Formats: sequence, C-alpha cells, structure tokens
Amino acid sequence: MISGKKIVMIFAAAVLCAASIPAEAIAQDQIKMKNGNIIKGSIIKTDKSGITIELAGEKAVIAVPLGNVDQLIIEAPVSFRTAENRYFAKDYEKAYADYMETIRKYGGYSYGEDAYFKAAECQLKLGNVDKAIELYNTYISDYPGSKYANRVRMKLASVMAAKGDYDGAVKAYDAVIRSKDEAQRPDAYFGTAEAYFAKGSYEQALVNYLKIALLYYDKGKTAAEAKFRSGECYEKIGERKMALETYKEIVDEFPKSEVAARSETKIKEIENSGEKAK
Amino acid sequence: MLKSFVITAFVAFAVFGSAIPVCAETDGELFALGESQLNAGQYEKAVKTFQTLITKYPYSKQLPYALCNQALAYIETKEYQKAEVNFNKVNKDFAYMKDLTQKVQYGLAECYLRMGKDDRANQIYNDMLSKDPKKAPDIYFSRGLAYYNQKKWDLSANFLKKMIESYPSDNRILEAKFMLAGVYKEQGKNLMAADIYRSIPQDSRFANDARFSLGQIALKDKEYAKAIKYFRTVKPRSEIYGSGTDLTEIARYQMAAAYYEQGRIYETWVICEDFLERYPESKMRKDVCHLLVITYLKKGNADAAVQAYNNYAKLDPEAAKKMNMNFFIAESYFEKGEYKEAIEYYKKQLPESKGTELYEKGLAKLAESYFCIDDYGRAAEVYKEYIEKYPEGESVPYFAFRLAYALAKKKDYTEAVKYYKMIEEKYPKSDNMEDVTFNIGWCYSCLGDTAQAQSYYKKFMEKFPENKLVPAVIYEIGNTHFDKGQYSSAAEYYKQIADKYPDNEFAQAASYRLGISYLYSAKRDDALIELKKFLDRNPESPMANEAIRTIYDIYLKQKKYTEGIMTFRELAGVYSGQKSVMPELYGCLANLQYLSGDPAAAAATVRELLTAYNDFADTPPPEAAASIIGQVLVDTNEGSRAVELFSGILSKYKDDSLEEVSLFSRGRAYMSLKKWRDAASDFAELLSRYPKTKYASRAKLGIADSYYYRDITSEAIVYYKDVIDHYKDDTTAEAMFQLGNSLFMMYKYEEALANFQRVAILYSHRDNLASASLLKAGECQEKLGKNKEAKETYEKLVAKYPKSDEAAKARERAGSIR
Repeated sequence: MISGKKIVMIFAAAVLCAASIPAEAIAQDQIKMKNGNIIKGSIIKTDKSGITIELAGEKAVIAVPLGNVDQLIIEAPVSFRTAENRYFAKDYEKAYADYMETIRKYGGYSYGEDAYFKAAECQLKLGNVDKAIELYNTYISDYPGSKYANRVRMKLASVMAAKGDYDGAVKAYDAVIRSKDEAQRPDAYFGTAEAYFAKGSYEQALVNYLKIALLYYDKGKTAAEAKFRSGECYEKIGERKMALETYKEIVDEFPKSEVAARSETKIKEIENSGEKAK
Repeated sequence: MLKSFVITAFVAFAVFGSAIPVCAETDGELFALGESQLNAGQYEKAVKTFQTLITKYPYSKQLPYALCNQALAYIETKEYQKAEVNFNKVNKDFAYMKDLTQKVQYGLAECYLRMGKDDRANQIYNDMLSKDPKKAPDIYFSRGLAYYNQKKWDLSANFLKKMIESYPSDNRILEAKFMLAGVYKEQGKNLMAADIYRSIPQDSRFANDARFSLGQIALKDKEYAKAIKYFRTVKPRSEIYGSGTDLTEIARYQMAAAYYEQGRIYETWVICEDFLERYPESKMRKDVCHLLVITYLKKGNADAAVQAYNNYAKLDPEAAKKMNMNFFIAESYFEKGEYKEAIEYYKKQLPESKGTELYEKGLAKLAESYFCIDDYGRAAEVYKEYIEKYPEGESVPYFAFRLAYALAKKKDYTEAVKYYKMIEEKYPKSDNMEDVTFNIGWCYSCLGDTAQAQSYYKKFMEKFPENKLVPAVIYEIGNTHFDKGQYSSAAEYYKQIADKYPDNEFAQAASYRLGISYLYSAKRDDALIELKKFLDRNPESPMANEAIRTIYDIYLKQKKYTEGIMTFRELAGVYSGQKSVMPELYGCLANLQYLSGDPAAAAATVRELLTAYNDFADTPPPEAAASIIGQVLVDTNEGSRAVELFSGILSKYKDDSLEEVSLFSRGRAYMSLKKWRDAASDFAELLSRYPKTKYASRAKLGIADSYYYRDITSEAIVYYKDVIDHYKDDTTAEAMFQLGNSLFMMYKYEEALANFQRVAILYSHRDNLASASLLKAGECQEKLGKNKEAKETYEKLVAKYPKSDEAAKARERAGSIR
C-alpha cells in the first residue's frame, strides 16, 4: 500500500525540528505533539512503534514515537462511522471489524480510544467476555499513561467481577486507586468493596465501603450507599451492634432518602430479630 | 495562635508587590520579607529582617513602619522593653505620621499589659477614649485581645462581652464573638462556647473554624458522634490559624480519635491509613501512627501493629520505647489464644521493662502462656520466679496454685504438695482453698501415701460438704481401698456415690466398681444385683460390655447356666435396640445355652446374631460370641461358612483376643471340612503367636489329628503324648483314645490296649468315648490272641453301654470268637 513512497523513519527530535508547522484549521489528520507542534497528514496506522503518517503535501511517510504524542486531531474516520451504524443496527460482528480497523489506524488515540471501548462492547454483546477482557488489557498495556486508562480499567474490573473473577476485578480497581488521577477513586473503592463482598471477604469489603463513607462523605448518594453496605458487612461479620449503629447514623445523616428507608427496615429487622445485638 | 487577630488589629501596612524576593536587598524588599515573616509567625526572623532594614536604611521612608512592626515582633518574642523602646521612638521621632499614631498607642498599651503594667495601659486606653469616644469598640476589642494573648480569660471575656453587647453592628463583631467563644472554651465553659460557635453564620468566613471548634468541644465532652459530624464537614481553610494550617488535616485525626473512642476500630483504621498517605509531612503523623498501632492491637491484628509501630518508632523513637510495644503485641496474641507468639513477645518485653509495673504483668503472662500450651516445666519455672520476686503480690496465691498445678502435671507431686501447703498456710482465705485441699489429697494419692491422701480427702469433705468435687473425693477414697484390695471398704464408698449422687459423673464408674468390689469380696449375688443395676442405669455406658462379661463369668463359675440364661434373655430384651451391646449379650447367652446342654438353642441364638450383624462384616464380634459361633457352625456342619466368616474377621479386625479365637475357630472349621493341612497351619500359627492361649490343648490335639488323618502316625503320636502329658482337661481323654488308635495302626497292640483300657476306666462317664475304647480294646486283645479276654471285654461293653453303636459291633465280634 505504501510501497514506492519514500519512507523516512524519523525519531522524535528530528520530527520536532523538521515538521514544525503552525497550528491552523483542521484539514486532514493532525498529530498534536507534547511540545505544541502539529504534524498534518494522513495517518496510516498506529502500533507500539508509533504513529505512521503520510505527510501532507509530500510523498513522505514518517513514524512518530507515541511518547511524543499529546493527542490526535482527526475527523471521524469512515471505518468508525460505519462501525457505529452497524453497532446501532446490532450487527456486532461487522461493527467489531470496523472498530478494529479504526484501532489499527489510530491506536488508542481519539476515535481509536472509543473504538477500543466499542470493540470490547461488541465482544460482550456477542458473549465473548474473554475477548473483551483481552481488548481492555491490550489498551491498558499499550497506553498506560492515557488519561482514559482508568476508565478502561474500571470497565475491565466490572466485566471481570460480572464474570466472577473477583480477584482480577480487585486488581484492576486497585490500579485505578493507586493512579494519580483521583477522579475515579471512590468508584474504584466501591467496586473493590463489591468484589470482596461477592467473594465473601466481608472484612475487606467493609474497609473499602468505609473508605468511601468516611473519606468521600461529600459524594452524597454514593457515600450513603457505601455506608449502608458497610452496615451489611458488619452484619455479615457478626457485629450486629455496629450494624445497628451504622443504620441509625444513615437515617440521621441522610433523612428522607431511599437508603434511609432501607436502613429503617434493617433497624427493625435487627431489633425484632429477638437476638440482642452483640 | 490567633495570629489573624493580631494582624486584624494592628497591621494595616502599605501593600507592596506580591512577589517577595528570596534575597531581599532594597528597603522595600526587606520590609515585605519582614512582614511576611511576621504574618507567618516567624517572629525572631522578622525581628532580624526589620533590624537589617533599620540599620541599612536609616533614612528610608519604611523606617517608622519597620520600627512599629519590629515592636510587634518583639511583643511576640516577649522582649517587651525593646518593643516599648521602638514604640516610644516612633511616637517621638515620627509624631507627624498620623496613620501610625493609633497603632503605636495600641501597641504600647498591649506592651504594658504584657509587662503587667495594667495602670499604664489603662491610662493610654483612657486617654484615647477621652480624645475620641468613637474608639470604644476598638479599645474594647484590643484589650480583649491583649488579655486573651496573656491568657487572662476573665478580663478578656469582660472586654469582649462589652464590645459585643454595646456594638453589635461593629465590623469586627464576628472576630470578637469567635474570640469570646475561645475564651469560654479555655475556661471549660463548653456549653457557652458552643452556643457562640453555633451563632456564627454559615456563610461567614469563620464558619469553618466554628465547625472545627464545635467538633473539638464535642470531642472534649465525649460526644463522639457529634464530634464526627462536625469534623466531617470541616474544610481546609482556617481564618484563625492562617494559611499554613489545613484544618481538614487536624479534623481527620480528631475524627479518627473520636471513632477510636467509640470502639469503631475499622473506621479508625481507615481514617488513619488515609491520613498517613494523604499528609506525609504532617506534624501529627506520629500521633496518627500511635493511634493506628493501638487500633491494630485492639483489633488483634498484631502483624499490622508491628509494622505501624516500626513507622511510629522512626518518627518518635523515645515515645515508641515508652509504649512497651512488645508487651502489647504479646497481649494481643495472648487474647487471641496464640500463646507461642505471645511467649516470643513477652520474652522480648521483659528485659525492656525491668523495674516497671509491666515487668510483673509480663512475667505473670509469660507463665500463663506456658501454662496454656501445657509446657508445665517452663510454666513452673516462671511462676517460681514470679513468686520469689513478688512475694507480697496480690496474685501470689493464684500463681502459687497454678505453680503447684503445673508441678503436679509434670508429676512432681512432692513439690506440688509443698506449694499447695504454702497456700494452705499463708493464704487460708484464698479463693482456691477447696481445690487446694482436694489437690493435696490427690497428690498424696499419686505419691502412694494413702493415709495422707485419705486424711486430706476427709478434711475436704468435712470443710466443703457442698463442693461438687465431694463425689469425686468419695470415689477416690473408694479407689484407694480398692487398689489395696480392701474391697468391702471400697464397696462402702462406691455405694455412697451410687446412693447419694446417682446423677454425678462418677456415679457410673462407682456403680460398676461396686459390683466388682462385691464380686471380689465373694458376694457374688450382690455383685450380680449391682452389675444388673449398673446396666439398668447406664445402658449406654462404655463399661456395659465389661459388666456383661463379668455377669457371665459369675454364672459360669457358679455353673448356674439356667439362671444365667434367664438373666441374659432379660438383658437382651432391655438392650434389644443397642447394637454395641447385643453381640456380647448374645455371645454370653449362646455360650450358656451350649454349656447347659442345649446346642439347638445356642445355634438359634448364634444365627440370630449373625443375621443381625450381617456376619460381622462391619463390626467385630466380641470374643465370647466368636467362640460360640465357631463351635455352633462346626457342630451344624457349616464348616465352609465358618471358614469364610473367620477369614473375614481375621482380615478386617486387628485385635489380639479376636485373632486368637478366630484362628482357633477357623482351624476347627477346616478340621470339619477335612482340610487337615489348613487346620494344622491355623493351629500352629495360633500356638506360635499366642503360646499361652487357652485353646492350646485343643490346638495341639487338632495338629495331632491332622497328622493322624494324613497317616503321619509317628508325628501324631508326639502331639497326642504332649497333650496327655501337659493338659488335664477334656482334651486328655480324646488324646489318649487317639494315641491308642495310632499305636494300633502301627501294630503296637499292647501299648494301644493299655491306652484304650485307661480311657474306658478313667472316662467311663463319657459314654461314646468309653464304649469306643472298649471296642478297640477288644480288637487289640484279639490281635494279641487273647480271645477270652477279648470276649469278656465285648460282653462288658454290651452290658455297660447296651444302646451304643459299639454294642452291636461288640455282640457280633463276641459271637465270632470261639
């Protein structure tokens, strides 16, 4: 496909000097470099070695290392648009093929990133959970520094949890918790707690629910739900008195909420159970 | 503290560029630097910076401001005279600078108040007030603040209240209220302080500090839930403590403390761990580490506690040492029942805590830990050390008891008695006195000193008649008599238990031993009654089978077969549903039936037993049952079944007495099947494995017979003679008869005749054997040519045993002799 054209493999420093083109209106694909420079042309493919782009106005193809790339500025590629149409038409197999074509071209950037998600979604719709997990893992492995990496990890974790692989889910959530980006941390704690709860490790679940209830109190509904679940954990580990106190606190702290109503039911259950709270 | 008030009240300086150079050179830069140091509470640095400006730029327009600010810094460093000098200099040299006049007056007054020269301060305030009455709120506020800084709470409260009440619309009203609440807080008037904090509007800049303070008050008042509620909503920014303070940081630590006080360990744990991650440079880090350590310990998570402690020790090594961590870790393991780990840490802790209260506790717990893992040797050593070191300690009687117990456990009864007696003498009112008295008796009993043992047991019964150990003591006294062969005396004690404490745990054993005691004191009837009573009361006792065998032996020895059969039938009815006892009962019953001359009944019982227990495919039969089963099956020509049954028993159950009877019974079954070699093999194995077996004579007879029937007559003769020479039981007659037959086969008619004649004379009551012997004797005589004697022998046989099979043959033989 590109044979006959002059292929020049230029590394980052060279690119930064040679292709220093001032930013202007989007005409074709554009690679925005981390130093602010923009390379224009037609992207051919993206893989671990970098983004291969045919420079606009020249018959030259260069490979830009991924480490120097800030973002891609591209118009929705045909393959992605087709994939989207097919996805909505529930033709997941063909949609998957088109999403993969987008990924081949743009890797995990721009539409490529969305394509990763949607390709994995297609596999989930087709019942190929393992294939979806593989796609998520590929994305995380190839683009660990991506600002979307945590979003993918969260998705991966939820799929693993749904599959019953709780240890795998906890591992994926843990990567989100340990990342510098704190935005998804409360949700990751919640997911971790849910995975531990499903696994029957109630003490570990309790600790993670409490992290949300105590450290992200301003999260309102999530904090209330986490607190409710911590009450359930207390029940599971036989700490009925603590469970009762927790439910009573919910009623006090989140009055008239749905979770308060559930807590009131729990309070009645415990008080009427005939057993004295420990 | 309350830095913002200082700034609000006194500092209203010219604003310079926001960027303060790191190396200030110009007067402007130096002033800005000094001011920032003053605001940041770095008073000594501020003094120096302003001094540089004053020295370097004596004509700078910043000079009066620098003097004034340096004076403020001096107040904070408690160098009041220097402050006074500065203020006076500004007053004198820069009187024309009207914007400084008021600040200098306030400064001087503050200075005098701090110096304790209240009169001079009052004079300044009064002068200011007389010149300008509108300054009243400023003066009240300033005086309130000055006294606040001097911690003169009453005076401070007085001026602040005046200001709040008189000038409610003053723009510093919130500061004044906040300060007054602070005064109340310091005075412990928490309710009044809280009222004021709550009155601070939520949209004011003091709202966050107010929530924080309310949290602190609630924490102090031990209203932990309320404290948590306040702390949870605290935001980082503080108007009171300044920009260098993150209120959330303090609030989170205090929230953790509140949760800890509530016993909410998981919550404390979560907040502390988050704190350490979130505030790696916090000054409160060591407090949090400490809290985390005690939280882990409370939760029993010793490993995590050790890790947290190591972090704590890095931050505050001295305090960490004082924490006696090894002791608390040991305690944590002890509480969890992990005594080996506890021992490891108590051993580490003891050298660290010598001379302290914890040493005593650690030593005691170390001994207890050894005791709990049954290492009585080491426990005894440590208890001894404890008692020697703390002879007057409150716990000495208890530990002396544990020591004595440990010594007794390692069978050092003499030493144990020594410590028990020490308790008896030194601590007669000890809680353990009952156990002590009993245990001394028990130790003496173990030492074989029956007299002392009985003396202490009797003492125990007299002093503590209601003690639950009394039946045990009676039983123990019974045992000492029993062991000495004093069965009548033993029976008296056992009877006491059986009669007085029928539900006691010793009642069962006592009842059984009572029966045995009667038996050994030749009171067989009483023994029978008691053993039957025992079976009635304790149908599920593990001693039931033993009792049944004893009853059987009593009937056997008395040859009361009929009574025995009745008793065992009765017992079989009682125990019909009890699988563990039935084989023994049926075995005894069948034996008695067989011995009473009713083999048919015995066979019926045996068949019932075999059916009920599926030929003992799943449970081993008792010996008595096995024996009679073998007998009955051989008698009823079911040799093959017997071989199969006993082969199964031998392969499945490893029990000596069962193997013994099974080898014998299978050998007999082989005999009935004429499998002579197999029979001889079983009998030989039986004799080899159990040389003293009760079946020896019959086994040897069996071996002899197996040779005889295989025509190895010479070998048969050796075994027959062995039986005749060594056993005087029902096998002798048979051996003698068979020896005669063997000799006959070898044409030794004289010797054969002698044997047959001996059998006929000695065992004339055994009709079959005697008649057969007479017939064979006649034949011998014929072979020897003694026809007359032979004829007489035949006639004697016919006369004596006319209905026997041999009588007909004898008539025929007699008729043929001429």
